[in-house]
Amino acid sequence: MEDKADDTALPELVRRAQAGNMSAQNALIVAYQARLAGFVYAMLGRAAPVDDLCQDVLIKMLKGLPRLLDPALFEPWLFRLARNACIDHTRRERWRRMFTFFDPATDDPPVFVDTDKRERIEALLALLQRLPARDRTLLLMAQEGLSLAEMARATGTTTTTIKTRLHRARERLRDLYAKRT
Amino acid sequence: MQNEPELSALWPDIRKQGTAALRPHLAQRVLARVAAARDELSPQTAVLVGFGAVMACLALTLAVNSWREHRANDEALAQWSVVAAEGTKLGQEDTL
Repeated sequence: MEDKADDTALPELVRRAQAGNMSAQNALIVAYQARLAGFVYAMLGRAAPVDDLCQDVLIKMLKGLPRLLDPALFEPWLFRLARNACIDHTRRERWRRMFTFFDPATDDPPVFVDTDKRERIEALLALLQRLPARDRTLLLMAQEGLSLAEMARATGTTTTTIKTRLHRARERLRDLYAKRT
Repeated sequence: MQNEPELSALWPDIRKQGTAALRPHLAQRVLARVAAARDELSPQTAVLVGFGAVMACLALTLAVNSWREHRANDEALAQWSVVAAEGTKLGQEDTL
């Protein structure tokens, strides 16, 4: 479904990056930065923290790479790091807002899609924010082309549980859509 | 994905928006940060180095104390030997 990296090339690239090859590490970042940015943007519903969070996730990825035993599990592991970073960020923001009387002006960068699409994206992201983080994560991981087994590995549950949760998440999103219109 | 057609339809644009939020040269920034972190001591190494330094100070203090005690004992022993020798000498003179 998605432009996933080639099945044979990715483990090899991960292995070279694990060995400390800087050009492989660079290639790995370049290959995943757009997918990661889309995932983080959809998870948070805001563009402003995307760069910082992506940078943090990629730094954690490079530091933790030597401990990744199976290079084939790179993708679910990376999205797990991204999910955790987004959840931590949301938690921190909630605390920050409790002690901030005036919300600072949003510094979201300009958008590059037409107005109609922009409104649809904003509406969709707002609906996604109304879903629990767990449901949102699954919908976005599915959108990123992760298999049920990969999602199970990334979230630390079983494939059957993921199947049920994903089904419920889709139903919830559909309900939200129905209520909106 | 037939259950959320809007999400699938808009996903490429969402990704585009997310990518547009990235500042330039993300890969270089990440690699530079990781390289800089490699030059710093890791928390575990810092704790080990600190612990090692404390243990070395403790060992040095114990060694100096031990040496000073030995020296004091040697001096006392030497003085005592002189006194004992003189005492023996006086005792012999008294007997005579």
